[in-house]
Amino acid sequence: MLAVVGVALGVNVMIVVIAFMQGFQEKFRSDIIDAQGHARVLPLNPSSRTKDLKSTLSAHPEVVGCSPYIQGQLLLQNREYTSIPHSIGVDPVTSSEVLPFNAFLEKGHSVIDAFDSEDVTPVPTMDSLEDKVVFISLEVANRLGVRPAAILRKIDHNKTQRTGRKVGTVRVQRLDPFVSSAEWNIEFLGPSQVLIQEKLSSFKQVYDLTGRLIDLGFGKPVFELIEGDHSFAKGDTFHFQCFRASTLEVYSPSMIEKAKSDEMSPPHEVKVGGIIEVPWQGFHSEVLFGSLRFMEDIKNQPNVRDGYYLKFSDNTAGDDKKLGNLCEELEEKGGDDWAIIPWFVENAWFFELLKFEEYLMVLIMIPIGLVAAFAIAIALMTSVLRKIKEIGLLIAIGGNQFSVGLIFCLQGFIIGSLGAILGCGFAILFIKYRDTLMSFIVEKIAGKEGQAGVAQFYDFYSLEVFYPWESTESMMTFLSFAAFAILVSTIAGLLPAWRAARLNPADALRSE
Amino acid sequence: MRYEVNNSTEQFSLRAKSLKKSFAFGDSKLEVLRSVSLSLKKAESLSIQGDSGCGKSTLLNLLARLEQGDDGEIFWGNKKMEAARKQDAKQIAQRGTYIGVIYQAYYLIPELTVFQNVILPARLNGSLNPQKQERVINLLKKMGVEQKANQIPPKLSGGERQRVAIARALINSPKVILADEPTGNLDEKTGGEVMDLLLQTCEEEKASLLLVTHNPKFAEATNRAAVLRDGELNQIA
Repeated sequence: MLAVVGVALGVNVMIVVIAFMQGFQEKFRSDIIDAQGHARVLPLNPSSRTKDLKSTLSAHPEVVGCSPYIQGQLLLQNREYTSIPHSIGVDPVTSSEVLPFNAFLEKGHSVIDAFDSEDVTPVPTMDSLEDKVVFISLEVANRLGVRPAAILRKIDHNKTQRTGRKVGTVRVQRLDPFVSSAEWNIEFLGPSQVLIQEKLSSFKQVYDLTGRLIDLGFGKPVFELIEGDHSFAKGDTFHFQCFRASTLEVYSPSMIEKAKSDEMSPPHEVKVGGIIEVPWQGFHSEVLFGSLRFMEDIKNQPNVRDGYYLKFSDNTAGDDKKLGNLCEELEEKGGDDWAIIPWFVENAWFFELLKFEEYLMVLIMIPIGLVAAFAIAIALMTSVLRKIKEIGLLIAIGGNQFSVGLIFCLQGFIIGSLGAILGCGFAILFIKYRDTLMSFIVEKIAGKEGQAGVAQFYDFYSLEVFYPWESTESMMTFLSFAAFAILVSTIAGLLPAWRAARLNPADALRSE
Repeated sequence: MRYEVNNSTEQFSLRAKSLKKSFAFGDSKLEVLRSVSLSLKKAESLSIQGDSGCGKSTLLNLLARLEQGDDGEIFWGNKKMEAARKQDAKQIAQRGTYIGVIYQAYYLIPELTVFQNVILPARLNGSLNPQKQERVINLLKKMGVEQKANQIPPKLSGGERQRVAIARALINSPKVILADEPTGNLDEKTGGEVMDLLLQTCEEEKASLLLVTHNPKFAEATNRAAVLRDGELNQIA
């Protein structure tokens, strides 16, 4: 029984580790594709940067998305703080076909936690990426001490508003990066009329409701009425505190060069539109995304493209070989000035590292299997000693050495088989309840802070680990380790079997 | 009177001629059997008495070919075997059907039920069939333990265990039963019952019985009796 449990645990550990490694590979693969598309088109010489390849590339039926980008280093400044992030100019319209920018913005969006108010800032979207707006990574925001616009709704602790009934609420539907800091007050004069006041600017307006939105124009939040069980009534009041977005000063390398020769040109001023978080850890941690035109302006290089992000149809994207062939085909179409690099070629180093880690894990785990084999051999050997008289008897009543040996060999096989089945079962359970288990283990080892750190890097919680019936690779992992366990256990049973078969029956019966 | 072997072959189920066996202890050598000869007719019973350690069990092991002797010959019916030679696969296969063994300590397999223990020799020699299963039931009835067929040996009394062991020895209808002190672990009354049952069953089954015992009363109950002393077998009755 103990030997079966030992084998089961060994098989479980081996399968789980490999399944997780495969899960990591799958996750990194998806993160990388999110961060740079299925392939990137790179210019091979300066002249080719002005050629427009988009129409040629998009014409191919397998290309479902193509978006240009410009990149470079920019100097950002906020008061005395500076940062030089990797800066990328993207097309606000077509970039979302290739890269999930709205998801990146949602991931980077943080909520202000306050006692007397609720953060109702809407998550920024690519729609707000205007020429004077940039998205920056959290590292850049922290380094410069800047943040995007935010708006809080004050919580009505004094219960001045009607309570006991769900009368609905007011949320902020859009908060563009150019809003000013303000204190907004919305008071219902009746079901279809509100009085809107802003304390700092003495703004005051009676607004007749025609729909759910209260749009006061540029530079002001767009409020949205959310009906509850009962209509809004006179006296319902909502207070909001709005904080403007930080402004950054941006310098290009050419502007800095000019400054050296005392030719000062004023910096570009941009608003922080949102915090962006690209889940791929290999991506630049300090990054700025702006519009194509912003980058063209600041670099003073109109119509220059540093590359294109490409996205292919699922038919091609799921097969690396097909994807590679398509890249070669497109490269030929584009002429010799451009190279098209598939994601797995550009990040080959990383996947080689992961594969190496996987092999290393297997190498480390094989001794676990061997230890289990030794445990089985010892258990069976002990069994031979314990049952020595019975072995003698089996031979005395007509059993031959082969059949007696076979019993112990079969025992090893049965232990291996049961252990493999049980181990596969444990592995499936572990995969199913991995979040709960990992949280518990990591929290016990590293505490709550450590748990957050581990989760940030490995992200167990969203890690896609496949069950054997979901993927061939996972099925192969389960089958190979189960077969390994059965083989090793059967081999471990051979030595005791050989010993039992060689026993002299008379000596065995005589033994004490 | 020195126990001599009868050379006429047909009527004997078991014979031994000049069996020798010694055990080495370091440099010294202990001669347990100097020159033992015996013959056992079909359906005949023979008891062997002797002091502890005189070689009675060793003699049974040699006769069952569970152990190699130093010299001598053994005959299972007409089949002649050199005691000093290692048994071959054919002999091993034949042992299951020709010889039945009963031990003082029963040696029932504790994990198997009474039924499974009794049918085990048939299973081992590949002769498992419905008739054999029926024979198990009949033997258990004859032994008076048919009610215990589905129980495991640790739940049985000593007498019941030995009855099961007798049934197991008889399952393949062997020509010879070698019983090594079968009543040694039983009280006088139970031992007597078991012995009566053994002798009666061997007679019914027409199996020869070679009985090793310390009990003169049981020795008297056999057709002939002999004593093993100083490595030699002497007939006393």
